[in-house]
Amino acid sequence: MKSAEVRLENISKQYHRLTAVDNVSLKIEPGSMIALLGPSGCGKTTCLRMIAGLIRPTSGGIFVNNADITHVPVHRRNIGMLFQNYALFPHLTVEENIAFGLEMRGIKKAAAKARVAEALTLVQLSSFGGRYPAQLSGGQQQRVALGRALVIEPAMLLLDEPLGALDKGLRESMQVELRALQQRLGLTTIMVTHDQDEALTMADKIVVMRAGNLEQVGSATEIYQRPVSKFVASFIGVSNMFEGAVERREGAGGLVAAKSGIRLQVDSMPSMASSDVTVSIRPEAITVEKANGLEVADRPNVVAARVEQVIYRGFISHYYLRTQGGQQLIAFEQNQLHTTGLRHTVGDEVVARWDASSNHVIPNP
Amino acid sequence: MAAEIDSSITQPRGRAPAFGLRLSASYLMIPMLAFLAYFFFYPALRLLFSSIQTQNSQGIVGPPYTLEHYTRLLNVDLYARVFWNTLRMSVITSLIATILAYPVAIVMVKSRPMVTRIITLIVIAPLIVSVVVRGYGWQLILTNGPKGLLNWLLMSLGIVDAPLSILYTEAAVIIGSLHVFYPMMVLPLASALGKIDPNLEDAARMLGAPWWKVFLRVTLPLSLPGFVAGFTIVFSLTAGSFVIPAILGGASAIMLGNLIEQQIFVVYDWPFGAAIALILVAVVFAVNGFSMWLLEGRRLRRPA
Ligand SMILES: Nc1ncnc2c1ncn2[C@@H]1O[C@H](COP(=O)(O)OP(=O)(O)O)[C@@H](O)[C@H]1O
Ligand SMILES: [Mg+2]
Repeated sequence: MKSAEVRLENISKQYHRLTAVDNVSLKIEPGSMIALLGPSGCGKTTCLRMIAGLIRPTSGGIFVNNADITHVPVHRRNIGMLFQNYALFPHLTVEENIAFGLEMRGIKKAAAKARVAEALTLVQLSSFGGRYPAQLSGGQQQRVALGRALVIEPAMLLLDEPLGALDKGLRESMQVELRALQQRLGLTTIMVTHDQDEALTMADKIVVMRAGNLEQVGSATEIYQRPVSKFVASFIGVSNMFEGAVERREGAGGLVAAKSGIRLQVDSMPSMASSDVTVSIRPEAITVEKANGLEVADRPNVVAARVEQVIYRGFISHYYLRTQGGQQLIAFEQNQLHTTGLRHTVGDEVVARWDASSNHVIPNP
Repeated sequence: MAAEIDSSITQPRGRAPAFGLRLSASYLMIPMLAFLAYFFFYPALRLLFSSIQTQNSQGIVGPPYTLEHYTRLLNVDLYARVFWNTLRMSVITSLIATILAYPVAIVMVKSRPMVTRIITLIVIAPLIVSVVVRGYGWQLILTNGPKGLLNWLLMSLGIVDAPLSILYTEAAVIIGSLHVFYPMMVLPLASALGKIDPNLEDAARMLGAPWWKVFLRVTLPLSLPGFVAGFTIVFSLTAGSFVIPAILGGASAIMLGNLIEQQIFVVYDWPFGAAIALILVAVVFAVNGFSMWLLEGRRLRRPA
C-alpha cells in the first residue's frame, strides 16, 4: 500500500462561540502512526473528522502528499476509519460489510470476492463471513471494521478511540496487534485516544492536545521525559512538581529554590525570560531511604519526609511522602523479590533523594 | 388468564402479594371489556351472521345461509371496480405519502431539537381539524371550473389555459387522503430514522458512497421498519375511509366505505353491506398481518 504524508496547515473549527480546534498545524510522516492524546473535549475527534472530511474546517488546509484535499468530498478521499462503536452495517453480513467499499468503487463481483476473502484472512475472521454483526463479539466486530477499512487500500487510516469499548485484556492485545499490522502495511495512521497507555503503546509520535491547541508533539520518550508544560507532565504519567525560582545558573544547569523550601540542582536549564519555573520529577527517579539521623540540611535534591501511605502493586510499590515543608511527594520503588515485606511503612521518617539529571525544568508562562 | 393464575399458585408463598395484585389488575379491565363486548364484538358477530343470510322481499334477514354476497362483490362488475379502485387508491396514497414523508422525516431527525419540534407540530397540526372540515376545504380548493382556487391560481399564473377537472376524481380523493393521513407516515418513519446510528452514514461515506448511495444502501434499508409501519397504517386508514371519498370523490371515485353506506342506507341490503364490510376488514387484516410478518423477518429487524 502507498504511504501518504499528511499535513495540517493552520486548521481551525469554530462552533458558534466555541473554538473546538484552534489553528493547528501538524505534519505526519508517511507510514507512521501518531496519536492525538488529550482529555475529553480537547478537540481530538473534531481534528480527526476534519481530516476524514466529515467536518468542514472553518479555516486552514489539509494536504495529503502535498495535494490539497480540504474541499474534496468525503467519499472521494479514500480514507479508512474505525469508529468507537464499530459502525458496522447491521443489515449486512460480515462479507457484505467488507465488500461495501469495493462495491462503491465499482469493482467486479469476482475480483471483490477475492479481496474480501483476503481481508477476512488478514483480520483472522475467515470463517465468519456469513454472519451478521450482531452475532459477533465486540473484538470481532472491530476486526470486521478494520477489514472493511483496509480492503479499500486507503491512503491513511483514522482511528477514533477504536478500542475504547473493549475490556482491558482484549484492548491490550488488540493494541499490539493493530500496531503490528500498521507497521507491516506501512500505513499512515492517525489515532485519537484519551488513554496515555494506548498512545505510548501504539504511536511513533504523540500529539498532546489541550483546549483545541497542540501542547506538545514528540516521541513517547520525549513527551514522558521532557514535558514542555505542567499540563503534559501531569497528563502523561505521574509527576512530582516543585514551584520555584531560579537561584543561580552554572553552565548549562543551575540551582532552583522551591517554594516548599527544597533546593534543586539541575543539569540543564532552558533559556527563558522569567526566573519562575516548575521542576518536575518522575516518581521512579526518587530513592527513599531510612532517615537514621541522616543530615539533610541544605543539600540539594534531598528532602526529609514522613511516609503517609504505601500502595503495594506487585512489581513496584508507591510511597506517598509528606515533606517537612508540607509538600506531597510520590515515589515508585521496585520491590525486591527475595525480601518479604515493604521497605518502609506508614509513619516512617525517611529521606528522599534523586539525581540532578532527573530534575526537569519547565518555564512558567 | 387461567395459565397465569396457575403459575402464580405454584409460586413460593413470598410471592402471594403479586398474585393478589395481578388478580385485581385484571378486574380493572372488566369495564372496558364489557363495553367492547356489547358495542363491538356483539355487533361484529351480528354483522358476520347477517352477511351469510338472505334478505327476503319483506326485508327480513334470515335463512337460508349463503356465501353469495361475498362472491357478488367480485362478480358484479360495478362492485368489483369499487373494490379494486379502493385498493389501488390506498396503495397510491401510501406510496405518495412515503415519497413525501422521507425528506421531511430525514430533516426532522437531522435537525436541532427545536427545529424538530416545530416540524413535528406542523406535521401533526392538521389532525386538530375535523376530517369533514378539511374535506370541504379541499373541495373549495379543487372546485372544477375557473372559480376553483387551484384553477384560478394555475390560470392566473398562466400554467394552464383551461380549468382542470380534479374534484370528483380519484386524484381529488388521493390528495385529500394524503393530507389527512400524511402524519401517520411521517411519524413512524422519523422514529425509525432516529434509531439509525449516524456513524453508519459516516462510515458509508468514508467507504466511498455518495449521498444517494448512502441513502439507498444504508438509510433506506435500516428505515424499512418505519416504512412498513407507516405504509400499513396509511393503507388501512385510506382503504377504510368514508368521509373523504364522499366529499371529494362524488359518484366517480366511490370507495368501499361509500359502497357499504349505500347498501345499508339506500338499498337496504344489509347482508351485502355486511359482506363488503367484512371483506374490507379482511383485506386490512391481511395487509397488517403481512407487514407484521415482514417486520419479524430477519432482514428487516435491526439487531441490537
Ligand atoms: N457539533 C458540535 N456542535 C457544537 N460543539 C461541538 C460539536 N462537536 C464538538 N463540539 C465541541 O467541541 C469540543 C471538542 O469536541 P471533540 O473534538 O469531540 O473532543 P474530544 O474528541 O477531544 O473529546 C467540545 O467542547 C465539544 O463540546
Ligand atoms: Mg472524541
